[in-house]
Amino acid sequence: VVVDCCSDTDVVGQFGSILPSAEFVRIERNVGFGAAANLALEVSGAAPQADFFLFLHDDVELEPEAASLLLATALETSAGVVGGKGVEWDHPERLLEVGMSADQFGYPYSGLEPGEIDQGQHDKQREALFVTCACLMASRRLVETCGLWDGAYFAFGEDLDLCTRARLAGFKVMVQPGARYRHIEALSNARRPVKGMPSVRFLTRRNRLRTIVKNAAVYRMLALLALYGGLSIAEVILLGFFGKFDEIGEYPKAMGSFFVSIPDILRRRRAVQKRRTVPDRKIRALMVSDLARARVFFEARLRAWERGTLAFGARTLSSLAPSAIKATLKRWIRRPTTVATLILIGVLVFAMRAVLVGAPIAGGSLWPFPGNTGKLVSQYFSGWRDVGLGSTSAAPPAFVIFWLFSLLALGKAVLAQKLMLVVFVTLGLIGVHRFVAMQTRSPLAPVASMGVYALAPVLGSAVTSGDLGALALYAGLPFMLSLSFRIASLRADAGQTSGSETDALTKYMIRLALITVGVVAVGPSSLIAVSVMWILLAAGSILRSRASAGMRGVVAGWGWVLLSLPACLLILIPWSLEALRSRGAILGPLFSKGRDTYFPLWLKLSGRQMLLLDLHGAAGVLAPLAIVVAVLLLAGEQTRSLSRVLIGVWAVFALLGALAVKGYVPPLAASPGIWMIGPLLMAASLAGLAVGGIKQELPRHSFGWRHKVAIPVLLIGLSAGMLAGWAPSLLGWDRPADSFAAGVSERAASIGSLLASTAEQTGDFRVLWLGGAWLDQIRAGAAPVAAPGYFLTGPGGLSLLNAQSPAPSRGEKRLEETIQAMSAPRVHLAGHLLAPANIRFVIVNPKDAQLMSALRTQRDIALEQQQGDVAIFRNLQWLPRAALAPVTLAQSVTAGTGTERSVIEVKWSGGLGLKRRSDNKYSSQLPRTRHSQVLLAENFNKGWHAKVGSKSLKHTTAFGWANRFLLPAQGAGQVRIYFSGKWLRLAWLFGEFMILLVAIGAAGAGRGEIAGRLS
Amino acid sequence: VQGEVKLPADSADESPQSPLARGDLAFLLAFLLFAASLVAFDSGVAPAGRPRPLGADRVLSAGWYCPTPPQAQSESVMSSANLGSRRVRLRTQAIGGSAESASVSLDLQPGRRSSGSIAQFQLPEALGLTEAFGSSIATDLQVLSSAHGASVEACASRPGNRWFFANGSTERRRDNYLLVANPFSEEAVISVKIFGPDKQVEPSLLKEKVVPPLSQTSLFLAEFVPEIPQFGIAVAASQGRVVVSRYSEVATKDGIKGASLELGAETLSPSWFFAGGESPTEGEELLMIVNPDSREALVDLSFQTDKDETSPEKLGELAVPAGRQVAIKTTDYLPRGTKHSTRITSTNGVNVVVERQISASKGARQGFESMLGVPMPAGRWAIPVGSKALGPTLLSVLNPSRKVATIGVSILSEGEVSRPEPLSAISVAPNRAQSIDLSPYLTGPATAVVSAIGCPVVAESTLSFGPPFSDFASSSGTSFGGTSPARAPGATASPPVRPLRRGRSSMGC
Repeated sequence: VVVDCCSDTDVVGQFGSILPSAEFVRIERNVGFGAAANLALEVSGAAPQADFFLFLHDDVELEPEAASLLLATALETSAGVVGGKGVEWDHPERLLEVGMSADQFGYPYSGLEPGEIDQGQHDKQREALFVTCACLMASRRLVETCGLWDGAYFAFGEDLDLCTRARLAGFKVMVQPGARYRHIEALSNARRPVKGMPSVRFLTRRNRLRTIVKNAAVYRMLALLALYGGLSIAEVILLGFFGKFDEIGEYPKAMGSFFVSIPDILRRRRAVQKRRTVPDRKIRALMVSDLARARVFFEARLRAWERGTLAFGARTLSSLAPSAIKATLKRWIRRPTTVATLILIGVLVFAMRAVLVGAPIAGGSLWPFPGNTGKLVSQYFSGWRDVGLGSTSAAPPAFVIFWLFSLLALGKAVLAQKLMLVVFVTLGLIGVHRFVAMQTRSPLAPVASMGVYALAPVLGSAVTSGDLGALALYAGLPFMLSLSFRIASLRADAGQTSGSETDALTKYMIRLALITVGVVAVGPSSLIAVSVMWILLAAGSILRSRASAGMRGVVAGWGWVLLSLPACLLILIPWSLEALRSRGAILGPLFSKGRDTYFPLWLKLSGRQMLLLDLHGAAGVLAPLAIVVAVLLLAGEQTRSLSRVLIGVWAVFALLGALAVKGYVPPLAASPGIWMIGPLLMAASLAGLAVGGIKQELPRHSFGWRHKVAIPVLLIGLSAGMLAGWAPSLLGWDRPADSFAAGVSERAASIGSLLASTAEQTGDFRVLWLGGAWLDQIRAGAAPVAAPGYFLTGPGGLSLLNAQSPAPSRGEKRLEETIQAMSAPRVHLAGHLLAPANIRFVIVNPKDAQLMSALRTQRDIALEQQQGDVAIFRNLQWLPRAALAPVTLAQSVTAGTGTERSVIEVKWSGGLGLKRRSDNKYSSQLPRTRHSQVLLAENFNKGWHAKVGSKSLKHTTAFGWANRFLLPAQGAGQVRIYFSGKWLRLAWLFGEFMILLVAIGAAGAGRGEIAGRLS
Repeated sequence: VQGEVKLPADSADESPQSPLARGDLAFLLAFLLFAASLVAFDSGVAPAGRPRPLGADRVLSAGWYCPTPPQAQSESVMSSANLGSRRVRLRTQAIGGSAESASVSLDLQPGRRSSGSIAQFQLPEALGLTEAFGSSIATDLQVLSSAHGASVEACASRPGNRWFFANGSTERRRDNYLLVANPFSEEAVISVKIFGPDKQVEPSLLKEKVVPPLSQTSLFLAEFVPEIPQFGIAVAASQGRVVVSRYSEVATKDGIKGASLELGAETLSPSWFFAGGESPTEGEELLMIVNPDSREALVDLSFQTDKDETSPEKLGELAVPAGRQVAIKTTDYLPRGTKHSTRITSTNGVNVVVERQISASKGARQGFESMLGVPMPAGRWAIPVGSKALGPTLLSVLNPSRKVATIGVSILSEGEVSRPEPLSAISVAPNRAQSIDLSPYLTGPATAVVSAIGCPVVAESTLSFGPPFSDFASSSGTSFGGTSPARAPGATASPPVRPLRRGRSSMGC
């Protein structure tokens, strides 16, 4: 029976002469293989008399003995299904199939190497999970018992379904390797376009689900469905990673089609299960035990990698030959740019000597990495973060970056910090080199721009104040600027937007967003500086192009650039949602009204410094002015036009900065360092353009008056400015002031030992670091705090984990009110107010007379120790973190007001503590003494639960911010408190990670580019 | 498309001439102008207002510490007035012998005053402590000794680790006690220095003296210091925090008899003011200046009356040697019977402490009183006035500024708050003093709240005690900083008084 599914070929004409006895069936639409085969059997006159049916694809050719061998095997083994050995059409020595297996989800697995040569190694008659429908013989008994093909499959997977049904009904599925056939695989290899055929991905994903639901036992089916769902999501993400966005849509389509056909599937399932005589485990024995598709995928990747590695290795070996190295060095050393770059690096290393050697830095936001980097990761994954008074807020993404540097440094805390510094500065210089090289062909121009970028005082200020946010922006901004210009030029040059251009724009935009993510993660408020810069550059570029026809393109291009900002925030969800609050890390400086911890750094500056890139002396004025004058007089017309935009951006940044330092507008970034990186980059670029102008454009121009003026101006101004103004500042790059982070200085160590010994005696407690001495120069970009500023840590003292706290919650706000009341002073029993927050020590700088006086006024706070510039006060009314509350306090809290007055009016001392087992768990045996409630000094959250034995305790707020659990009157046993929000956090992070993966994939090079590189 | 970037600077088709556009020159000039403007702005424009210092109005709690003389010698009555606009919870107790007594609690309505004797707590030598919750109060202590006299003094609202007195004596018949109270659970260690007219003494027995937690120690100075007629005292706590008062009992052969309780000064200052004072018709008025610094202090003295201000030439740039005390008899410079205020200013920036002693065997100010000046004028004062043994009460106000100050006086007593009309708007001329007789408005002990409108002032009350005490006492009470918002002349500054922010205090006002 020859079945013609609406082909354009004259089937009867072709086959009539060869098979005169054949019956011909033509179907006017493509119904798929199974349905067509079923129809053929229905209409065939010979079919009712046949005992066996051999189904063949039209691109299959049987060898002469094949059919006989199949029949003989069927008769010999009483098999329901028999298949043969498939080989490639063009290369019959290569195997395609000798019986098939599959994984649990129905992904087929042949067990053959790609292109495996047939040497008779598989020539043994045996059972298989299934044989493909390319050449499949089925017995009449099977057809009568299990039915024919399932026509709903259309293509792919119907053979697995038939064979599985056969096996469930107790039939054998055999392979007879002697029955050879050649197979073109025209459909799978897309050598034959089929009209109206759905995509392979759609069909395979839908059909596998169908096979599972129809044939698997109930529990296995449910488990497989759940796993299949997860697997599909992972596949979608991987597709995104590899940039195959057009294929992602097939998944929801496949799911939709599956759900629509559920009634039909269930009907068929009932029939299959009714006939079942064999349990699943017997069929699973024929399946591959692992994920076959993963194995196939990774095998293919390994082979590709192997090829690439070999090629790369060969190239590397040739370039590492002594003669090659010698030649390369000779070539390099003769270049003036190399010499200039080496000098520059030497000067920079000299300037950074104080931070590159010695102990880890503990100033500004440059804090020592914890020795145990696992803590960073555990904080990231923890549902409840032990920071401040506890929070469910997402950990800062900077932790991941810190953790990566820690890994790079093999866990060496000192090395990790230095490495990060060096990498940031190096990246910045490479970036500015790249950007200027993109604008001019003069090799000296990028070196000049690197000189300005490295030697201007801004970098020195960032390093000496430990401004990590500014350093991150320093590293990232040049790359971001390059990409933004690339995007803008792409769009500006295009008349009509084509598909490939949109792909490129998307790719570059996502790359820009990813770099922004890295910068914002470390210095959150740099997002505002970057936004302002893009807006100014967009405005400048539009003004530049207003006369030309490409203005619409420029607008669209910068639109794409601006799109990178929401994309960055999207990638950083959920952290970004919190950071965008008015007291969050990104927008905090705008709304902090001068309470931001870095605000004092703004006050130290003047508007003049804002314009002159943080220059203090007078001589350095010449350098920036020389750059501006020279670039406007020397460069060609287009460069001048670009320069005007860059100068404009510089000027606006300077103006806004000047207004901020005077207090007329809020600072637009947490630190002035972050704000000045933009103008610095503009100045560096302009210097490069000016030098490029001399080298590149001057020879083409007449040597007019402006060149006579400009060259001396540039040379004298730049040299004098840099030597007299900037270079001396290089001598003064010092370490940031010590901020008493744990384990750095001797004093910090002595504080640490006091706290640690107390913790050993009393259990866990919190320490309040109060006043500007600890806070003025730390936490760049972190949430602002109310004056006089505070920092809340555990007994371990200040550490990197505390460096980036979330926006204050209710507890922190109450704590701020207490601190304000205490420092006003409006309270003489502040210890009572600090006690519920588990604060045992208050540490201030004795030079802070106001705070010292305020603390001395407190009746319930005593001076424990005073050494040099550290005064440690002990709270006499300390309450353990999780405490069975004393009766007096219980009455006060039960009174329900939870106000400060209700707490301070009550005389109480200490509570009975519950032992802390981890950040999220406390437990102890309930004592015989009567207590009515358990207080937990963490910000109130419904995720906290408590139990006595197996009985859950009622959970309410205490003091308006903390947690209170009501104990039963006759309770006995163990009291346990735990936080249950871990899985939600993990789900969030998983989602965030997947988004990041997709973004990285989308930003990666396209397939074409990879192929190009490989070739 | 991917990776292709146009290099704008490499425009090979650019004209070889590439004439400088006028726009570029204009842009350059504009940039230079901008830079110059920015620099000018930078140096010429003052910074905008910085965030206001913290300090909200709401008082959560406050403790008032009143060291009291041993109960066997006298009766001590502690009184508190509610200066806020809300009801305040008062908790009063005594601390002594390393223990706290049971406390007495009561709610005090706004503008009311409440009193209680320390004796009720049955601790022989104790510090009186009043804690207030929810609003601001002022607390004073009245000491009545039928054998020696009477005194009144404001209590301390904060402990400290340095206390100064400019007056003290170990002469016979002049018994001086230092009442050192430690109201905290931590031990305190103090050292005492004596600044005489010609030497400085550090009594060995008063070096590193331990004051136990929750206790009050009375140090009879004659036991530790050789006989010196007059000296200044400095008490420094090297550990812990203390409150120090000096209690003096005087009964001289020439008939001067009286008692005086004085809370020490927490800080030294370059300026000191006394609103009340009198060059007595009988007896002496002494101004004692102590310079605990290591440099010589040069001070100027001036006297203000209701009519004029005088600065005796001899008292211009008066030298006070380092670590010494200098005493000045005002009767040498002012006619006897002159009521006056006094202003002492250190002209070379060396901080000093100044005390005024008045003693007389008869006359309007019969008895003995020694009080410290106040270091700066303030907008509001809560001053103890009136007494159980009622005698005349005088309120003196000094306006040390260059503008007229208008004051209003309210009187807070146990039963009521009164705002006598004649006291509602009293003008005090610049650099002048004014005395007001409060006797007609008093029926017993009370707190007078003096509110200055416009310029800050200095105020002081002088209470006369009739028999059997036959003494007088002066007190400048407690200042509350800031001034009232400017009002129309004649407007009344009426209590309840809102607790005030710490504010500016400008002599130029």
